[in-house]
Amino acid sequence: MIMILSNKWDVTVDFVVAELQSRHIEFLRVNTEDLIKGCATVSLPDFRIRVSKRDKIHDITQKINVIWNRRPGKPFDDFPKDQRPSEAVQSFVNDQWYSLLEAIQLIPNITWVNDPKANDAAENKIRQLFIASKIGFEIPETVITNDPEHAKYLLNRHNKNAVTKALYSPLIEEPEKDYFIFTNTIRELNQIPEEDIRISPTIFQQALIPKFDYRITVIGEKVFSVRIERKDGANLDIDWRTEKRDIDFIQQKLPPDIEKLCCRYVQECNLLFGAIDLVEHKGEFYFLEINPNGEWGWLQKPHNVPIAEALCDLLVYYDKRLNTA
Amino acid sequence: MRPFLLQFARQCLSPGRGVQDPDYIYDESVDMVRWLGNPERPPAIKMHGQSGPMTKKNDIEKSDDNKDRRMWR
Repeated sequence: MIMILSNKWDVTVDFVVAELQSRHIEFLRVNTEDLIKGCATVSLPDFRIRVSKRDKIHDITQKINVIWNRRPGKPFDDFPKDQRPSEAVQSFVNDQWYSLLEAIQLIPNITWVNDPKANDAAENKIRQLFIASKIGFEIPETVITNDPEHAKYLLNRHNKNAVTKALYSPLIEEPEKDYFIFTNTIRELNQIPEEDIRISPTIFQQALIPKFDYRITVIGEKVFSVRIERKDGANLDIDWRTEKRDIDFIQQKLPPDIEKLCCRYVQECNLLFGAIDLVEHKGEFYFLEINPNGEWGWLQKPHNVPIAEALCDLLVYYDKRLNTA
Repeated sequence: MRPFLLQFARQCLSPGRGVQDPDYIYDESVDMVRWLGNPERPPAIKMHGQSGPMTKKNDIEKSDDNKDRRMWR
């Protein structure tokens, strides 16, 4: 059987659920934030993991062959903020549940989409660029540094035409407001206090302008490529995510060698799924980054990219492969 | 002392702060979200003429993957 680990408001999963239902394929969707109202038990030494769903207990050690590891919800996600315990207690409860669910990885012969450890490793942007370059992708010249002199050197090498972005998780959650740091162009660092650069390492890269942006979704050996364009035909911002409402996503096949590299990249990372960002600059394709568990619901609808169908094919393949073994 | 990247920070809505849209409910019997804006309560993903359901995280539906932290963290 196929198991889906996510949360109830992850509507991207609904595309796959609908497809599995249309094919009459059995699956178990576990919205992990609901376990706090149900139950989950790990038993030893006769190793069993049982979870409840709608008053039924499922022994996933016996039933499950493939797990789609999407967006597991946290225990208090459904609680209004004023009804949640303190941050410290929430963190404690989260950690207990994380440790229990981590035990699912002990079940033998399960195919993960994606393997949690491989997924985690693939989140590291330095590793991403290292692997891309190793297997033959062009990548922008990059330094990751807290040294103002190194950063300025890169800027000068590229005529003060560079971009800068966060090395990890550009989301900042203050008590009253949240902030997100997109990729930004940077031309000058002399006005920035040195200590503000030294406080944390940052990515500085040559700016690949002009460019065309591509989003590549790799599922097993299938590659879905969309080119991202502004509806009015003007050049995109350095980070197209800042202009979501004004852009189109056009399905466009990649050159065969680039498509092969995308497949190879995902395999090299021991993944079965990956969302890769490429840019085309002066006729060459450059790898920017991969989101190993990247979002794709917005491509399925309204842009009709058949990612849910491809994911179902993959999940069914691995489920049947173990069923017949 | 302030990380220099913060000068580029733009206000957004994090997953933890979004308020659930009351026009949607999760139907456990079909394992999907339904839209209550139609008497038939269709699955949210099947709503015609929409760019896609915006159940909560409405400024991160499209590719803002980095707002979802690593699982559970």
